[in-house]
Amino acid sequence: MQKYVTRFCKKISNPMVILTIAILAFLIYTIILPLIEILVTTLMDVNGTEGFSLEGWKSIFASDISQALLYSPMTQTFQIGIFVSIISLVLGSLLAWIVVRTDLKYKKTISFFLVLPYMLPSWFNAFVWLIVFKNDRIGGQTGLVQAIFNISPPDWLSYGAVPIILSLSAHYYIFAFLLVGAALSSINSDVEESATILGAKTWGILRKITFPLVIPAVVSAFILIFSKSIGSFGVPALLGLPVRYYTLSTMIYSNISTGQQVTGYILSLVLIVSAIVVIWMNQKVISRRNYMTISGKGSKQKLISLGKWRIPTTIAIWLFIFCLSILPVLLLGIQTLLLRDGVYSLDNLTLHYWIGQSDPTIGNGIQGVFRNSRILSAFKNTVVVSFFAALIAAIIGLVIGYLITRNKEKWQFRLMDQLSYLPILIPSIAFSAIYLSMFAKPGVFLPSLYGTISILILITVVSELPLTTRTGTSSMIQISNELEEAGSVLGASWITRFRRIIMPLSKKGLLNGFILVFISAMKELDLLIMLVTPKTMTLTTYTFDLQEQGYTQTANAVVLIIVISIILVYTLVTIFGKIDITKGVSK
Amino acid sequence: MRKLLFVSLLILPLLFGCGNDTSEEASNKATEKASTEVKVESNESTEISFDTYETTDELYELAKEEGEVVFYTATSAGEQAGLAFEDAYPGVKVSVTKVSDPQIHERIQREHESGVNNADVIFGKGTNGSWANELLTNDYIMEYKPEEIMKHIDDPYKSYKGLPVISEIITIIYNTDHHDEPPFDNWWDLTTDEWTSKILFKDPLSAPDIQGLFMTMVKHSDDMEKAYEEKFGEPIELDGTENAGYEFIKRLLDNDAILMSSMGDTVDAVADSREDHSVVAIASTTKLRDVVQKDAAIGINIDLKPKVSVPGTSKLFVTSNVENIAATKLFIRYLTGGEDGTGEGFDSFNNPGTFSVRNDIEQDDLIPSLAELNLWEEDEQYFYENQDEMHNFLLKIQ
Repeated sequence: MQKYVTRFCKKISNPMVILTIAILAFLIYTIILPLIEILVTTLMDVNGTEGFSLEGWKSIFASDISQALLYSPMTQTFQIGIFVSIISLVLGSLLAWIVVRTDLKYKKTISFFLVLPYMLPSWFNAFVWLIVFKNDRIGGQTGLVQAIFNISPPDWLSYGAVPIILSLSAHYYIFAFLLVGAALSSINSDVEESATILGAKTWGILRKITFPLVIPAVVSAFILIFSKSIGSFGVPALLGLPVRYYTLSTMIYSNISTGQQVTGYILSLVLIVSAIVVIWMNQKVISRRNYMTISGKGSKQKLISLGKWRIPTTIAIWLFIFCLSILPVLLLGIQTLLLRDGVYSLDNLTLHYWIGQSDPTIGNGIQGVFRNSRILSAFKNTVVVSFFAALIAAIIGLVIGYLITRNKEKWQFRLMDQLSYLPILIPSIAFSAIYLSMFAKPGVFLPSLYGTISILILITVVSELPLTTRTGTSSMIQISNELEEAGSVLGASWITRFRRIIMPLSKKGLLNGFILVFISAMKELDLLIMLVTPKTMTLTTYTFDLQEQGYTQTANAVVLIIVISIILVYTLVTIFGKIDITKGVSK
Repeated sequence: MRKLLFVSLLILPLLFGCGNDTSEEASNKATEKASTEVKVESNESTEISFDTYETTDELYELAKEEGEVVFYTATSAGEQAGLAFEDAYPGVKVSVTKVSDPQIHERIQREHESGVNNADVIFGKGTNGSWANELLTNDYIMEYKPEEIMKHIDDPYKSYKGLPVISEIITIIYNTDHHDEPPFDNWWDLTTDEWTSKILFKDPLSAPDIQGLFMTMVKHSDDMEKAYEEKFGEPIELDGTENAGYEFIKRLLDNDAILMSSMGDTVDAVADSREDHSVVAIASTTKLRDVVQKDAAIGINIDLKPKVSVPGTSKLFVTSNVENIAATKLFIRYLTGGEDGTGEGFDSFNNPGTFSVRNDIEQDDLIPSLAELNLWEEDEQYFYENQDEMHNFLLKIQ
């Protein structure tokens, strides 16, 4: 008996155990409980029935509306997920390889611009697509293609699957670029050199050495891209609806927004379950191999010479950057200067929407953004939410990453891995509806959070955990156990080891996680729109209000403020914090 | 161990630290509210309730002593009116949130369940009867229909649940630059080849108000049937639908109607469309404010057959936990245009296409008034009972 008590006490005082329990409790409270609540909502008191009933599920899976409600949107959702993943992975990895492994010039600048689309809200690509390729199907001003070449783009090019897939790929390739890039840059090129000495060809090296070593990064990127794209709402809403192309997310949104909560929740659960299947497959792939690439030994890389390919590659990359990073921001900027939307002429230019006094003849008397006091308070809220959410999410993500990589085999940690990944699959709109219900009332540990900044921070942290856990894991996976073992042999406690070995080596991962979350929190809309009140309004939710009321230019001016703030923060951290989210890629 | 403490300290703010300012805020509000209560109790002779009458000056004096009125509105004009209130009555605070109709429903329900009674006044169309049938019957919200306003409201609006303020109608909007005369005079025109791929509207699956119009057409399918005969000179042959109302919706969507995610965008598209591809939108008349504000070339046909449309009336309700009664009453009186209907609170609503329910408010004569327009009657109860069926029908024919 005494023995068990001692063992128990010893276990309890082990920081790893306490940390594990704390993290698991946090994940269960913020992720599992909400999911259970969704599930219960779909089973109890549905459609006027009393008590338990499967009515809701039956009407979705087996009724005359199932095809329209579930099966066809689901097929289209997967179509999008698969194609976006393939395109993004190929594009992102290729760019990463060129930037990391070849002797291309101006790598830092190129990396900076290649990451820029990530700083624009994801629905923004859809806007730009319409500006360029809009045909006259939906009326209004036609796009640039039609205006310049006088050819009406066919519907399949203007709306539906093709533009949705391309718009999303143009946003999500960045995940592949960053993750694969980081993995590539940490490969010691000695391995490749030895292969060269032994007579292997470039292609052979790529296939047999480089590719297997970046597989974990590719899988991580695939998961992020796949789940982000199947859950995205803005892009399919803008580009899919005109040709009645529904995805699960647009279906969920339209159901929740018309008060068909149960249907929306069941569809959300379908999305979540699909995701679990994807994670499960991911774990099958990743747990079979060993991927330690930082071994405490120095790594140097020999760059591959581009030779006669230098000029075409450089041109292609800069063209790509222009279309994806510079043009959108330029178009956005010009748009805020147009007195009348869609009229591109010099005498239509104005600074009114930036600095103008209220003028009843323009835009219902709305003031320029620099005179608008609500912008300032929204700006403050945005910064507070983004900063704290990023800080907390990055730390939790790193700790989870550490625990998972060091204890891969144990079930608690596999559970932790899976749990931390779930939020990405809960569609934002369903997520915020559930949080509204869960945290609006005083709970077991918390007072009511409704109407406070805290609930915005909490939901952002939880929804970003999948990302920070991935960045945390991928930086931990590369820190070999040997280093810690060495510390252990020399008598260092776990705390000392974590502080002196793990923290310094993963500083990059921590800061990367922070910046990624900060940026993504600054442009988050869907998640927060139901939870804000006038006092806690953020810039994006204010943009949404403005857009809804038809103040397009003012709304875009606010978007531009968001984008510029993000770029500013990003540049400042790069210069003063000596970190760079593309560092793994462009060193 | 110290490090561990450090890590947990970093996590703790999330759980407790952030909670602190909440509870502080909450307790502030609580004391605020408590002090109001004490005042009202200790001063019984002037006790105010939703049943008493006070002049506007009396309300203002009382309201200055009270806390903030929290207002949820589904219309942007409501938002503007709400924001203008603080200028009109300095010292009385109002907090305005613009959220959609179904979201107001959702929030009120959540707030009630959680005991966080944020909202005092809500304003919207009531999501096809769900406010009246769910929020009102469960006593989450109450009707406040002051006599001084109600005496200026005629039937059928008088008998609506809640205090009706404005109506809008969803009808066909066309480009007035391209057409001197409306290019259609019958809803069935939209099912002809002439309008194939040229009709825009918000995805009805996420637009309760368009569903309301469709349900009205189903309810009055006999009108739709007659209008069909009038248009095409022969009786309608149903193609697998129940009646002429459903048949119209099916043929409308089959005519390659284009769905969009925002109603405002559909009207903007009509205003900006080119003459060789002139489109129409099925959208709310509130956007006709652009005619005066943005010089937009859009208009409606007031002789549309069988009826122009059905009104969608926005109503005010108060929640069942209003603490600041005087401020709330003052705010509602302000929004509805004051006792004599000349109050500036109504100015934000006074746009072409937004119709005053009160019969004593003068409006622009760009469009006839609500009473003069040829409209179906709004039947919230019918909407409430049939919305699931309409939703399923829309899914099936998609």
